[in-house]
Order: sequence, then C-alpha cells, then structure tokens
Amino acid sequence: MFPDELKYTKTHEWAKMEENTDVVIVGITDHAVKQLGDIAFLELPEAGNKIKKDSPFGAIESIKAVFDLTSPVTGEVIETNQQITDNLELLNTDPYEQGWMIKIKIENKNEFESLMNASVYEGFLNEKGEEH
Amino acid sequence: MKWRLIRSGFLNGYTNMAIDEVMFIHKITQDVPSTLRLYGWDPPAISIGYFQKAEDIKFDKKIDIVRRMTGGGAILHDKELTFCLVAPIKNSVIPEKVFNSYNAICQAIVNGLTFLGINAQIRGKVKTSLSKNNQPFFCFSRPSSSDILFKGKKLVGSAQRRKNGILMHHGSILLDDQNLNGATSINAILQREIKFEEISNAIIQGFEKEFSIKLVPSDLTECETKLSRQLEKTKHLT
Repeated sequence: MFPDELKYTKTHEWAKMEENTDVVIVGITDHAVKQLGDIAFLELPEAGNKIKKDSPFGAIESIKAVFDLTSPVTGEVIETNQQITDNLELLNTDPYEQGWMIKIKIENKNEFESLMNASVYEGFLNEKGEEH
Repeated sequence: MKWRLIRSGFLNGYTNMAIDEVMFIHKITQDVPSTLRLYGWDPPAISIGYFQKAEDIKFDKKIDIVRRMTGGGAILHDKELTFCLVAPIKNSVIPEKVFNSYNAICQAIVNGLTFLGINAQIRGKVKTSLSKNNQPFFCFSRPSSSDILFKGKKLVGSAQRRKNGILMHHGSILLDDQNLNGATSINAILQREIKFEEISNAIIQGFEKEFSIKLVPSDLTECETKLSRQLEKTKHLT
C-alpha cells in the first residue's frame, strides 16, 4: 500500500504538494528502497539548481550500481534534506516523511497533477510483476 | 542473437573511460547493438567509483586517476583485463534486477574461466560488519556479493551504472598479483603468464555460452570515435 496523499512516477519517485504553496517535496518509494537493497551513497542537488521533469536530479548507489534519481516536475530546488545524506538509514525506516530528498518550487502545477496516484502506481507495479 | 565485440587493446585511462561513456550514451540515444568491450591499460591507472573522492587515494607513485561512471571502490588497473558491457536493462538474456544481473554476468565470466581450467565461484550475498564509511577504498580489498573468487580470494570485481533504461557493467579481471590481501590473479592461479589474447578469448567464449549470443568483432562507429575523443579532452583530461 502506498500513501494516498502522494503522487508517483514510473521511476519510483514520490511527490507531495505542500499545502497552499507551489512547492513539491520529492523522495523515493519504499518499493524503490527495497529494490535498491543496501544503499551506500546518495548525491542530491544544491538549493538554487534548476531541474527539469524526467531529467536526473541526483544519483544513488547500492550494490555498487549507480542509478539516476529522476525529477517528477520542472522547477528550482529550494531545499535538500541534509539529514538523509548523513543518515541513509532514514530511507529504509521512513521513506515518505524523514526520508524526503528535495523540495522543488514548481513552474507548472499540471506536471504534478499528471503524475500517477497511489492506485495507478500500484497497478503499474502489478503489471510489471514487481512485489510491493 | 548478435552482439558487438570491441577489442580495444591497451589504452590510457582517460581514453578507456571516454570510450565506455560514449558507448553508454550512444546506446541511450542511438540504435546500436548491445556491446561487450575488452581492454587493457597502458600506462597503468587508478579508476575511482562514481561516488569516491580522488583526494582520498593513498598511493605513493605518480599515476593517472580517472573516474568511472559505475559505482564501487577504486581499482589499480595494471596487468588486468577489463570489460565493459552495455545493453538495455530489459533484454532477453540478462535479468533485469540488479542482483540477478550481476549473477548472470558473473556466471559468464566464471564460464569463461573454466576454459582456462580455473574453477571460480561467485561470492553471493555477504553481510559486512563495516559501515559504509569504513569500507576499504580499493575494490579488491572489500568483499561484495558480485565478487568472483578462487579458493576464497577475489579474482574479479564488478560495478554497474543504470540510466535511461540502459545498463553499463564494468568488470576487472586481475591478471597478475598486486600483493593485496584477499585477492589473487590469473597468473598466480595458472602459475604462468597468461597472454592478453588468451584470457580475452576465454571471456568471449564465456559470454557466448552463458547468453547464447554471437559476439561479432567490430569497431566503434565513426561517431563514437569522434565523441570519445571530444569527451576525453573536455571531461576526462580536465
């Protein structure tokens, strides 16, 4: 089960609109965390960086494999979660709250609205035959 | 199924990394076949993993230092056969999931080594008591599930990069001993000096057997060659 209040991407990021703002918080789903296994390194952008929907915003390494983190929306990074870069375990224990990665001030709310909701994301994983 | 085989011979570290990167980018953007590239290093060089810092290298000789696109620890590339495999993450011969893909590719290497009379094993899942920050800096000093071992000693190290649906897998096969604790080499096992050609041929056979593919000797495309020269100058040499 994935939190209903979040939106999801096919590359397993989640996105949450902060109430009454144009800021979207982004992280990776617990499905992604489980698939990655033992996460060793994380690279996040600095505040002020501009990022584009469907483009990489960072990278993560597990089992010596490096993966891109893909932005669900276009906008400017206004904050990164310093806590997780020092404590990657938070991605395992609390991927949807303390494990958030970046906050993005978005340009186009439609990009956020067009992301998958929880049930569609779950269906997408089922279609791929992936456990969740 | 046919894959492309590139035998580059011995090149410097900057050129080697530029070629691998271009093969990877090209596979993302162009319709080129999946590729296995085999190469050596002249002069020797140290490659560091994507997340490692060059200033953390403790090495007392002057040597070229290059960064890989793949993860894992640093490697001193001297007498070694390196391979770079580039293929779609979803393909008909290598499993999609990371752990399984490592296993399949390592099995191809293990198969190849049997042609030399070497009975190697894949280490399999390991639990290390070391925290991530306390892992040894060098690949051949740290245990990993994808290691290929001979009598408990590491002979082959591997690492991957995954991007836009494409997989890059790097593997390093030690040909000669580097006096590293817990590591061994082809020469030490065979008690003779193996020719680069001979180990290359064995590894090619291993891949062909494991994946039922035909590796067709090829050259880089004109575009790949041009781009890799540019990338070497603009990125890897700076």
